[in-house]
Amino acid sequence: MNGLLTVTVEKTDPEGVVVYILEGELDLHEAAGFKQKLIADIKEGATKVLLDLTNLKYIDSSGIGAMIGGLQTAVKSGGKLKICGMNDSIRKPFELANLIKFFEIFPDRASALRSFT
Amino acid sequence: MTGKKRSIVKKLIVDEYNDLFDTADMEYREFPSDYSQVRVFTEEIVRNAPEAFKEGNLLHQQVSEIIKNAIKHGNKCDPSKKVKVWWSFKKRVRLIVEDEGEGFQDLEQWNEFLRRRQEAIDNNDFETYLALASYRTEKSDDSDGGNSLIAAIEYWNGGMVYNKKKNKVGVVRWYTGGSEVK
Repeated sequence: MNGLLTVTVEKTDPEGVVVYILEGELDLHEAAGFKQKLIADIKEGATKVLLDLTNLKYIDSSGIGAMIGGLQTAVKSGGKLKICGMNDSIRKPFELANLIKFFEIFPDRASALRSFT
Repeated sequence: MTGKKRSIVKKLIVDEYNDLFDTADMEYREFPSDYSQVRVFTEEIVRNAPEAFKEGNLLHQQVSEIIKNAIKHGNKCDPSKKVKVWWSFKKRVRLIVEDEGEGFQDLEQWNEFLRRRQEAIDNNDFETYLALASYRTEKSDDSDGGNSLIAAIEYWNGGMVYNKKKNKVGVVRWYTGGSEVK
């Protein structure tokens, strides 16, 4: 537990997918800032969004809420927001909140990127 | 037999004298309403839990949600107000958290939200499900995920009960083989 989150943003070519690589902990201290950035980016035109959680170690309801907000904004904008690299520790809170079938979830980045084409 | 699938929908209940509020043999601590310390307080509580009960960091996450709710929504982060916590890891996880706030006044509204949400899932009504993915009110901010209670009511598989004032919650989680855990 260190309360630190690093977010790296990449845009893939040729798919044009904006990939958010999350490392660390997306908790009550980090979620609001991440949510604001994610939603702002989507509203500014990011219609293909992928959240890569491979190196995310911890998430709480605030972090999940940020992803829900991103998905709701993407859908309203006619876009897509998908998730990849979700380990068991991250997946369990999504399952408990009955959110698993709400998101398109892929085992790794490669399969997720293929799904956008 | 015909008809649409209907899932059983759990509810938050109010029961002032429920056994889940029995504090006998439970550890006890009071915490200040310091939102920045929610996870530190949580770690103090769960650090001595049996590994089998921790389930990775799931126990920490679920306990932190209840502490967070008490500090933020109960005590409104008022530093003069305390959060009282009782816990036990004997054969299962039991937790009681009490704040000094006005109580969870939206409890019945939340139960109705959960019923409508589950109905949308059963009906494969994605549009409604999307709108009801999280519980939001005019008091919600960007740190409020709106999904903590949805997960909690599933996680605390032995019950989740509020007192009459709704400022105290008692929960329990049972484990397969829990009685074998030392």
